[in-house]
Amino acid sequence: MAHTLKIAHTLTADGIQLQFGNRKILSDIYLHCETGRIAGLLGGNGQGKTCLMQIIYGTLKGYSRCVRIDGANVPFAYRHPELLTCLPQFNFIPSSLSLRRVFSDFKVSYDDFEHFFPEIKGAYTSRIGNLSGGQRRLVETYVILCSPSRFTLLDEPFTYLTPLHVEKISAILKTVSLRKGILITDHMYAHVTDICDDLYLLAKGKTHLVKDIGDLQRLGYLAGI
Amino acid sequence: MSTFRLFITFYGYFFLSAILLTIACLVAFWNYGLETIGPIFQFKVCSLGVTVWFIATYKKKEFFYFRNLGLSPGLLWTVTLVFDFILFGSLVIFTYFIKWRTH
Repeated sequence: MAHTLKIAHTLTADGIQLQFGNRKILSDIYLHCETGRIAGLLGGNGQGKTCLMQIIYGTLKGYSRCVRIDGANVPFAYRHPELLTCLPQFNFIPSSLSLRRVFSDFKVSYDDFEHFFPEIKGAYTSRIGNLSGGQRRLVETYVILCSPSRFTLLDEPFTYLTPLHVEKISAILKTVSLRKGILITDHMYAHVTDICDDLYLLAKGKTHLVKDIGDLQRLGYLAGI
Repeated sequence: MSTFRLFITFYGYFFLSAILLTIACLVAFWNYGLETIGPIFQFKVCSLGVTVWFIATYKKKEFFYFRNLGLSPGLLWTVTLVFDFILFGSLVIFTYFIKWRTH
């Protein structure tokens, strides 16, 4: 009888504090993510979602921070792509690189990508800079999502994507989450709430574990949209 | 191999300007002799400083590509600048031998 051994990994972020001048951005943070689950992070504009992601990734220094993967402190996670990868909210792949090169660098199968998105067929040797804004975002989201790391942070992955691509990426997210933990934030909150197993709301510098839509209204997130 | 390729890609950001500056320095060294060695090193350092500032400002977002593949900006700069200076120094020594030691 064949057994599949699944190793569950955990990512925990707490004790994070960040302030710009006298303005306190983050003060009471707790986030937990694990293999097989998708954690969502919602919050209004300027609440510090991107800052929190950058602190977890290690590219932004907080006043204090504690980011642990499998219990071990990882202050500079970006030095360990086998542990954590991060999709920033802007285009980050050099436009001079070809798709062939990008998929090779991230060790991701281009055939699978073409299977999911046949409309981009034939672009294997094209440069990233020759793709449209939506296609470029799709490639960036896909390679980061499918890269062989234990965890992935996705900052606004659905921006510029068509509804069809959002649906497909959501399905891929679900599949990929079986082997890695995912933390996602996006303003298209309905898509986030649909795919998340755990949902956090960042408001007034604090994270709140959300149980239902009523919590989002009570905490002023939906009323603010 | 993959890491080496990433360093090459990053070096490609300023290879053209770096090599043109190196050639300009070598031409000055060839024409004006050993007394220019100090000024050409200073010129090379200053011009590379401007290049570093330019790339760090205008290619800032692309550092995320390298970060996601395990290369921090500090490591990228260290490796490529050290290589560029070794190349520059080697060419200066080579020029010196060609011009003054073989005659």
